[in-house]
Amino acid sequence: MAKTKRLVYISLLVTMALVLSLIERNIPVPFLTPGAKIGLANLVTVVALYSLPKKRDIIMMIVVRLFLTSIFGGSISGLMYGSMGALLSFLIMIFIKEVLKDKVSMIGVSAAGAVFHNIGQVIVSICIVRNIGVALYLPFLSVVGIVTGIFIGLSAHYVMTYIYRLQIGNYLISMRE
Amino acid sequence: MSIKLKKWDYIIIVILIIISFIPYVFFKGLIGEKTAQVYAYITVAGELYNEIPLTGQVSRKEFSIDTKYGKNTIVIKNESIAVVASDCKDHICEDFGYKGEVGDVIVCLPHQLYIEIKSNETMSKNQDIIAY
Repeated sequence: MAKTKRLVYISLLVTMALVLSLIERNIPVPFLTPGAKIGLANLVTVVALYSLPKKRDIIMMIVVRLFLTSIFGGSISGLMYGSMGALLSFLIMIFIKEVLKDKVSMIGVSAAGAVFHNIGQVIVSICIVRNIGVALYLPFLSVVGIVTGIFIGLSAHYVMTYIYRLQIGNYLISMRE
Repeated sequence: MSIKLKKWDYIIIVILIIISFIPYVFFKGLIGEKTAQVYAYITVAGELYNEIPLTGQVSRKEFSIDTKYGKNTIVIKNESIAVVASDCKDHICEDFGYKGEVGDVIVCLPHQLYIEIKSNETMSKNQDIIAY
């Protein structure tokens, strides 16, 4: 029973991430920097980070999300950029959350995740274009990333209050203890 | 359950901004040297005759390419290259004029002369990166 609940919860998160990234694709980018995104799917990653007790489940959720997003209107190169970004951002978010624990709120975690997502994408694009000049674009992406990361962290915080109110939230809390 | 920015949030954000400017500091000089190394790649009968850098060549420079096929007089100025005189019979190579953009070519068929403007960078200023 517990396993089924967990699987359903992970699938719900994947679905949310998928829908959010599909919606995001249709939002015109309101920033001056092309290539910058709001990173709505990161919202779900942050929520997963704070609600799923096992890291393996979080990784599973991210991998499934990446594949489904690229199937639903992405491309192979999009998958390459996205997976490197997602990997780096996941690692840094886990690191910050585990090291600083209560000293840091979701806002800091989410902002770090957004910036490292950008760093991952820039690394991949350096490898593809074979020109290190792409790295000079990083500050522009990062500034936008920090701003959106702060808002994503804020939203994740409010989402979490509702998740804890649900039965599944109680279940997850009990599992963590 | 209201949210409050904690001290470490500010520290993280400051660190992130610093991190994102690191490549800017490190690669700035490197990029400046490397950009726009445009050169003229001259071949005669399919074999490399000479490579002449065009970047920074503002003053007029004249020289001739003398091969068994014939003689062409080349002029380089304002970072562009032209064939100004040729002893071939059709003189089409002179009509090309001054060429300086990456991808431009000047051909003199009777002399089997082929000049192409190339760059050591994969991108030129007229091309965009297209992400698929």
